Amino acid sequence: MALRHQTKLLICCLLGAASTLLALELKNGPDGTAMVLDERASGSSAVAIAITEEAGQVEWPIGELAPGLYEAVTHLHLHLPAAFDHGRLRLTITLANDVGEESLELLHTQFNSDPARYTPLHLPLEVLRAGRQRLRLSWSIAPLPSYMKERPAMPIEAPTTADAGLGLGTNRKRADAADELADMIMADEAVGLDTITYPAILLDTIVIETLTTTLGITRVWPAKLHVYPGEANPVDVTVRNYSEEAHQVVVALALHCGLDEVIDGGRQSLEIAAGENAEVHFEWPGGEREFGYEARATLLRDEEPLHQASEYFSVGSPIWKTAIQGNGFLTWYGREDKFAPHVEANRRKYINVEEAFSWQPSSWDDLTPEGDDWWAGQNNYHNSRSGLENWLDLSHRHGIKMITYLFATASGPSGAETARRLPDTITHQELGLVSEFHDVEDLRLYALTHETPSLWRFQYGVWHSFSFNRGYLRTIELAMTEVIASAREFGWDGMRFDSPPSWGAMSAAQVHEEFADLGVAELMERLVPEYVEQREGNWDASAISVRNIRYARHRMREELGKDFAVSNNLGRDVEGSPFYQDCASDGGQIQHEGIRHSRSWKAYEAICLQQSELARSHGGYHCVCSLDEVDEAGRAYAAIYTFAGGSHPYGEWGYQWDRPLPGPYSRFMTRYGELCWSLDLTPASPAEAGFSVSAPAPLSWESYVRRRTLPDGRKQVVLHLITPPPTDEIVASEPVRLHPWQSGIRVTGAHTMAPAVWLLSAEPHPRAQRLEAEPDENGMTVTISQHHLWSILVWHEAND
Amino acid sequence: MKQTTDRLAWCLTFFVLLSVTAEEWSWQRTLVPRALLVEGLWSDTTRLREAVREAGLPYDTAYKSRSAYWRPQDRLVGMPAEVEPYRKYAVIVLNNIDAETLTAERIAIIDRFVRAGGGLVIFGGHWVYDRGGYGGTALAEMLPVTMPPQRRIPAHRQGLPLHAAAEANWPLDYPFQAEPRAFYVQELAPKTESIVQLQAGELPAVVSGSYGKGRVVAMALTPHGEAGEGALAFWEWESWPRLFGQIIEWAAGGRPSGREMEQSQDAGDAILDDLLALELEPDALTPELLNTAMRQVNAQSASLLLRLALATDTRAIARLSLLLPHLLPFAEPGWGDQLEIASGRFNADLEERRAALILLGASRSSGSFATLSAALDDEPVRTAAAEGLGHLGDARAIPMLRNLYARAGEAALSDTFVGEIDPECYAREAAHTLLAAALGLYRLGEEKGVPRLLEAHQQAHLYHRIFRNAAKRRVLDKDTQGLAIKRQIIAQGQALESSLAHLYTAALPIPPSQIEALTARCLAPLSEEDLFLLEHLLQASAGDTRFSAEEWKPLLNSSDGIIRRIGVALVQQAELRP
Repeated sequence: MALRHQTKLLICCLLGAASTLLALELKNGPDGTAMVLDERASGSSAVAIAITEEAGQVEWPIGELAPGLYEAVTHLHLHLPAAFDHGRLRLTITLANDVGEESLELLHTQFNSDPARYTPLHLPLEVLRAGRQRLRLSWSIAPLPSYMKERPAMPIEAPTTADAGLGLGTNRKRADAADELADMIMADEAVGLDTITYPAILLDTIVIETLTTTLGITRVWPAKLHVYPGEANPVDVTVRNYSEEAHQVVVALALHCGLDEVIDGGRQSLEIAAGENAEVHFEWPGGEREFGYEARATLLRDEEPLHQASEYFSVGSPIWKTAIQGNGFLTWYGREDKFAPHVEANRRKYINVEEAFSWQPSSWDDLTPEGDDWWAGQNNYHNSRSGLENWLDLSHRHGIKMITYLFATASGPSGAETARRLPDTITHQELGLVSEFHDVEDLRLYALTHETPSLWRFQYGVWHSFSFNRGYLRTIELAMTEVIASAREFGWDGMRFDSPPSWGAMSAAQVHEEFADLGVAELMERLVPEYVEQREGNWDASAISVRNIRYARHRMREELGKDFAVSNNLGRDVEGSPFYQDCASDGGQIQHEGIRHSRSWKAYEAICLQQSELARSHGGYHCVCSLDEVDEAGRAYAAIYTFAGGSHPYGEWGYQWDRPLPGPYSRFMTRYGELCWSLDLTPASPAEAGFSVSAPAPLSWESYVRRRTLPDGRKQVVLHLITPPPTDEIVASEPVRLHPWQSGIRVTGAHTMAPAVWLLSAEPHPRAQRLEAEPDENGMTVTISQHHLWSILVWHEAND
Repeated sequence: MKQTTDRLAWCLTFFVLLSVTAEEWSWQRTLVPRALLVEGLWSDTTRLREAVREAGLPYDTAYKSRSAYWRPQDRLVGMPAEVEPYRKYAVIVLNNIDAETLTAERIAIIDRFVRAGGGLVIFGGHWVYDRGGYGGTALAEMLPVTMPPQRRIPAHRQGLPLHAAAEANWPLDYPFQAEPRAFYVQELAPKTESIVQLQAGELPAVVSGSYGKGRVVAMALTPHGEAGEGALAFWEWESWPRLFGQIIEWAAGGRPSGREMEQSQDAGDAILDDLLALELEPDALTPELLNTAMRQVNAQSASLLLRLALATDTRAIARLSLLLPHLLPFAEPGWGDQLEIASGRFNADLEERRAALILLGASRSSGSFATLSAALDDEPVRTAAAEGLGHLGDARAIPMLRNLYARAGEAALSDTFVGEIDPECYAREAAHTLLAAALGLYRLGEEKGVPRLLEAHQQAHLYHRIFRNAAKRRVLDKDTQGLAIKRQIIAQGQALESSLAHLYTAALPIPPSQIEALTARCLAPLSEEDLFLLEHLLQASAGDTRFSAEEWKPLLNSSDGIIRRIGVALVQQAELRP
């Protein structure tokens, strides 16, 4: 299939308000492509790129661009049969020149699956030196994850007429300019779409919009991704002069928060030499307003705006309020140089809290390792002091908070020694002590096999573990002493009880005896007044568990400050119990790990909604662990259901450690998370809230109506509109495609006065826009013209 | 309820096993009493190995390993499950080992062992007595104490001082005034006729008793807790290993000596006739006949066996590698020609070539030096050539073997980690060359032959442990790479085990040229690995008439109790010899 033909490409240059449209005709298109007649494309023709190999790429030279900032919009369509395993297709669009390149990585979830549509895909581009550009489109078929049943990526069958959207008609309204340009395209040797009997990507136009070729903002950089209320967050703005003469300009900074709140960040003048960068520094002293911020810089010349750019960050305490949480970097000895790119990647992914998982010599009782390197008692990770210090330092410079893992086992040789010294703190079972693993010979060889590099591969590496009995306060005290010492040494911002500090009933006499031993009797009168008078019989499980969490939190906050954050990985069995309430209260985080094994979206969605509401009702924040097994479409839905449900993410969304969070959701939530996470949002039924929705295709929203009263007295209603996933299976047994994007969704509020309505979405990139409500017979109605998978409608009720 | 059912099942299994295996117990004759140490968690804190060394009891060890991934989850690595190996022990020490991990089968063997006169010592901990599920098992019968149900072992934060009990009948001449203390003591109630020897405070700490012909000691002490300022934990007490050793030694004291195997000259003659007949009727050779012949080799039958091993009709059964240890003492120059042929490159059977080379050296035939020194450059048979040169006794081989030892040591070094051994490289090849070269030099009487042999042995012993430990790693079935690595680790561990097993045979009998160096080495501090090899060589030399009592006497000055005790036995034996 070595068709050589003419490919079409549009370059649309827009300079300021005026635009210049250029069309380039490229002869001799690359191998593996074919020109096709396609009535859905802008000029009724497109280029078909065959996806018949495991991987490949095609490239076109696309002409010369002057130095400046551009945005390329590529219109693509996946011409794939329904049975094609869309989830395995990886696409990358790259614009390259001699100096560098910009790439956009794509998954099928970013495409509108409507067979009648091409999907516009945006790629920012900076050209530093004039030169010829090349467009490259590369693809590969990803292997199936090990947990998915083997199936072919490519079916034998060609796309059907229905798959190809033929006969459905194209109602797409194209821009006039594009229409004109389409007429200019020479449809040389174009063939009918029905001849493309193989999986292909159809490439319509590439429109390159010129943002600026004179002066542009190349970076807006708040020093920190997250700050506590009142904490300063300076913003640096980098301006580039692409022209050949010096310019005097002004940079104005504004901090936007909420939906329409703006804080003036100041103005600064600067002169920039030709072809140079200049940086201005804004001292933002911080504020008490919590949740997301946009630092928006505007470049002005003679008070005329030339260019604008922005970046997001969040403000909040506790850190769980705005948490987008990662975890990772297991075993780093000898890989310490990977911390810088790891933390930078976290920043790019808007991960603002990260947990160091099982890094310590003993999970509960040794968080203050001696020496320059050590092995984790659980999982035998090899870690170094310099690495840990560097990780925390780098993260803190970015405002990324670091928490430590805590699990109620004495682990490793250090833990085994604790179990020997303090057997009462270890859980007793009918036979012996609770130990998941231990091995006398391995413990004996441990020092040798762990201190001799040539023997590292010959460690048994077993998790020597002894389960702590949290019925004793001294067990809690043991861990708190370590956490506090470790936080002072390394600078932790919080901790997570991976196993909760809960326990069963204990003898009241024993409880009081221990209070006396530890000298905390008086303190307990303040911490657990409702239980402390009981001196006979048993303190029940609730009393013991509540005592534990209150004591732990008291110790940490007394010694480490009020911002020190506490998370609890709780099983569903304690939901709503006094212990649960205490864990959630005062900004505690409730983590749900069991969700990682979910197989059904309905179940996943229900858990997020129900549990996050429960946590919020007790003043806490809910978070869910990433799914162990999930496909590409699932990654998007895991994000949507988590955020829309009011929960926070933890982990890497079912992906390997080095894979990104799905799409732009975490960026969106950094800015607009308040509308999902604020504790004052309370659920309401559609009837209570007086809303109805009509949509041309299935849309889930009834469970996602929440409302609150804003500090200024206005009533706000937040509705989430979610296109359901194509199947309830989280890992689909058959290849699936997402439902098409929707338009014409009408949302009506039973009001007579025009409300202020905003439409927000993370897709394809974070956006918030005002919608005009129109009166009709049912009240006030807004129409949503483009809905991908998840939209948020924020409705400020007008006073009737 | 479940516990009761389980214990009933235990009893049933136990009595079935007892009835099935109720034949008379026989003891294997040993030079000195030997201990089997079954080590659970924190055994090292109790200083068990130090104790048996103090007491002069050579020992073998087994240990507990627990993994959530195994079924059953708990297992005892190195503890035999059949009767035969127990016949050599005088005492078994269970240190923090529960009944379930021991298994009903092993408990039945221990029961027979103790009834027949063996000793049993049980050290306290969270996995013994009531907390170890001993109730309802034969262990409960054997013990000199009863075990009240105990959910937790009571803590005594200040510690209970150890002291001799009023009724103690053991000599307990220890400086108890140092106030060694126990912090967690199990509550045990002495049975009638048992004797409390030691107390911790007012609690029985060590109780002795008998069971059948055997002696049993129950220790209520545990290694838990920590001594506060100015206090002394009993396990940190200087005298503790000696006291603990005395306890174990007492338990071992009931074991009778074993019967010597009778050797019948008549039977030997009959075998010789059978072997001679085979020359006319080779098909009549059976493995059974060969086994019988191997047990009674003499100079005449050795030559016949060699012929069978080299004859095409019989060599499939009469493998030279199998016969090697039996033929070595009888090798003579007249075997040289046949062995030259069998050791040549044309022989595709490497195992047989190697055996022929070793035997060729032992034959001391005239051409063997040239053949063996040439074979040192032949990688597949290099180790056998080194060993053969050792047997040959030609001093010209010394520089060659020194060179081989040095080169093998260098070859084992890691390219990645400076100054460290590459474990795979070592286990794959270098270890075997090092052991063979060390063995050769030791046999040749080279001046550093003994320390070099100990050095090579210590290294191989350690790496064998490391490989065996690493082989326990869990690898998922679908992890093909991990499985391949694990298989390699297992294979390399087995190769080391095989070389070590060969060393224990091949280093015997002790060359007269090394006896002085060997006994002198016993005066220096010995690592556990050194001790293991030396006590093996010394015990196996019991009855070696080449050595006089004077030659063994230096052993009496060893700082190691085990060596001293073996020395005493060897000296006595030599002095009693006519």
